[in-house]
Amino acid sequence: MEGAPLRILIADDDPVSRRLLVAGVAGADREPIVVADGSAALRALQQDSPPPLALLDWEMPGLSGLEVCREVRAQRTTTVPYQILVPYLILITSRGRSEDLAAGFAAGADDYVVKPFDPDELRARVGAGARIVRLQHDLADRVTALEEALARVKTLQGMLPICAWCKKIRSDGDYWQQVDSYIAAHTDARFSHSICPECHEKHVVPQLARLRQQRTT
Amino acid sequence: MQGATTDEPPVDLAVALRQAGGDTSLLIELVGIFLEDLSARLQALHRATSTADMESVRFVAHTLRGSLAGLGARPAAAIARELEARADEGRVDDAREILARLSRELGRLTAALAESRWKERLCGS
Repeated sequence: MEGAPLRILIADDDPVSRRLLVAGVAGADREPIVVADGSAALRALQQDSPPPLALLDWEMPGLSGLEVCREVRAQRTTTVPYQILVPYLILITSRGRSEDLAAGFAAGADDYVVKPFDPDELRARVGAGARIVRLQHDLADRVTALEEALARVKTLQGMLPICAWCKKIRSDGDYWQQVDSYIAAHTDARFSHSICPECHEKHVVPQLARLRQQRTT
Repeated sequence: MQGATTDEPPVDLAVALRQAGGDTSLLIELVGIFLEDLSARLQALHRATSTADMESVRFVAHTLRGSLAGLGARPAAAIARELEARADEGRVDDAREILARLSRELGRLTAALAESRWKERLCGS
């Protein structure tokens, strides 16, 4: 992901506005993808690897920008494994009334630019969107890494039947296993064997004494 | 809604240039894109108005308004907006009258844009 230019979908049926939008998002690390109607915009956003940021004109032939927003929001969750990877959608429109704004956000737009737009404002809003896109991708990468790590980790939980005397554990197959071999089989933990001072006194010392006695006799 | 007064210049180059981010060559390109498309759009408006297809009138007027606003052609953009609103209300007779006004204003605008002086003025400023 890093190093690759940020692909930005631009959808507007008016050629003058389209050119202004392309100029407005231009940059060394940006790659504009330009379409002239809503259906083409939706197709571009439904690809396997859709542009992560889109500028959608509200009024377009075919599907409107509003309908594109709705479609994208309705389908995203089922087609992509990580729901956090959803495109950032900016509506472009000459409708500046607050009820239009509310309708735009309700349809799933992330931001809103009123035409005719100030190029500095457009640049700033696209910059804010690009920041969110980057954060989302970092987060998705982190989630992927964590899920992979989690898949490797084996955990033991719940009740383990253990013998009160010899401390063997009963495994699933009704087979009594030493604690160390049981844990080694069920987790990523490994054992290095040594002797604790108590057992040294109890078992090792008498054994050594016995050996010494055998040698002298 | 008030129509444009004839003494207002058809295009405000300062606004147009600001919207083009101060890039004169971009502005010249935008004017070229606009002029290239204009006659087809006007034809579409006349055709739709004569067949009382108000949905098409509304749509083309809206798109045209976007271009006009982007170029700082305020008077023409205001008339296009009027046309869009009347078409939305389905008022065919009003639409005809407004379209005639829009055609005149667009004539004034293209005359101003066709002059080569504005480019020199722009590049000199």
